[in-house]
Amino acid sequence: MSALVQCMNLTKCYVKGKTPAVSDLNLTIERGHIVGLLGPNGSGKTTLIKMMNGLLKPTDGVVLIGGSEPGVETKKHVSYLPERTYLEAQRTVEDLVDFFADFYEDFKTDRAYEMLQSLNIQPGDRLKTLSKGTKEKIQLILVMSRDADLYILDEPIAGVDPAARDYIMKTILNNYNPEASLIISTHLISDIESILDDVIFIKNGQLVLQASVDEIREKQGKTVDAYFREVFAC
Amino acid sequence: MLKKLFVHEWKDCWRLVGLMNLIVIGLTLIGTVVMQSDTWSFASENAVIRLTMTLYVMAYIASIAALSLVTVFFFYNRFYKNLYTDQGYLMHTLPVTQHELIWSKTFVALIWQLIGGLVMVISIFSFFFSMLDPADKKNFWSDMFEGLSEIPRTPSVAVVIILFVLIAIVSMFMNVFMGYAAISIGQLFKKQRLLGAIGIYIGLYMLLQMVSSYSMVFVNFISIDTYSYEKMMQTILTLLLVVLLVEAAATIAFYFISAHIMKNQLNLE
Repeated sequence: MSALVQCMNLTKCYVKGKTPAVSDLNLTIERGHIVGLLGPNGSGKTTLIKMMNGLLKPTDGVVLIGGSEPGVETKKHVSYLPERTYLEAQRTVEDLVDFFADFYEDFKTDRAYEMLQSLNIQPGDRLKTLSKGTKEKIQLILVMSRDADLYILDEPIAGVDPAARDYIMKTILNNYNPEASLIISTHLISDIESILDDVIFIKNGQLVLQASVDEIREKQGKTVDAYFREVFAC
Repeated sequence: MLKKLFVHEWKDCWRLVGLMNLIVIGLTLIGTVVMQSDTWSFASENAVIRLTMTLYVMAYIASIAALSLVTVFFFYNRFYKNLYTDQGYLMHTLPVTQHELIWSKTFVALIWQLIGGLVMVISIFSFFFSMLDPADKKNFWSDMFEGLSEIPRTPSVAVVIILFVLIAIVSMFMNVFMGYAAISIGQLFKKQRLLGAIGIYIGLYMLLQMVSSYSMVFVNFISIDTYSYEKMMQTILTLLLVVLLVEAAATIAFYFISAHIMKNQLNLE
């Protein structure tokens, strides 16, 4: 299988001379994997994700998505859910669906409306009238309604109640294209452990471990959550 | 993709600026009708009428001021919010270039600035026209065309007019891009990015004023010889040309500052 994501000596330093947020990182993610990007707060997860999405330029090294540096072409194939509400509050749900359908050729409008209907979200609802949790679900629905090659979800379950977490996990699994890869960044490991194929541990911007979940269970005799706590013990 | 960005940008912007224009048009219509009536006058003996007239004039002036401010600062704010706050996470991950993002916003802002400018000019003109005596109204257009026909039809006058039009067009782009550049430079600050952008905007504005003043000295405009028509026209032409070149250079520089920051130094909070 060809590498979908390749990071080679990837470094990001926000302030010259200060500790880099990501330092000399080398990793490869193949197609068809669900990968947990795990690390404590401030470990460089979001910085790495931003570089994959072209939202930040690396200070050094390179990140390749499907063999190309992040740009217009890679953005056609990457579906990204940031850790914050990024949709305009004035827009209606229908406006947002139209917006995504206009810009992403791989967006499936029917799939989006089906999921919205299952949550009783009306197309005419304005985003500003909806709760934070509902907004997060709408964002996830929009992101997962694409037939992308790579899904990057930054903290998709942080800040939502357990019932919403279940819905989010179900949505991810039901709509994820098996040919694609999915990167989920989180520190709520136990909630997502069951769906992960591989994990990447990063600390202080450096790769600590890249392994399959089965490998960790076999070699360490622990769950990923337990092993994470051991590796990142304060 | 530029067309799609333009359409969505238009949809997101038309309500507020459209409403501001409609308010000015509405108040103008009320005013021009009221001005024709003898009942509604500041000289009226009825205190209610005098108070209503005062309130109306205040509302009219406020609406004109608000429209001129909104057509500029609404679009600066839109640029900032849409590209450099949380919404930037969506806009910068669309499969579009930085140039398409900037131009889609620029076209929408310029169209509304043109509409707003036209509405204000027509509104103010309508007011003055409605206040004229019936006899003056009758002769207004013929007097105006007569006055225009007295302008000498020499090549230098034609060039001056062309230069004025070009400067007006370039100025519109420059003002939009200056705001965008200030906002983009403000994003390089670690904290207080919006405040930084305002500071940069003021700095860029002062720099432009300084360059314009030096241009006047450069073409000897201050000691212009008004007694020689030819020399005067030559000086005016040189000055306009210098202003056009300075503004065009500034416009290009401001545009590329924004595009460069978005492409290479984007750092959303």
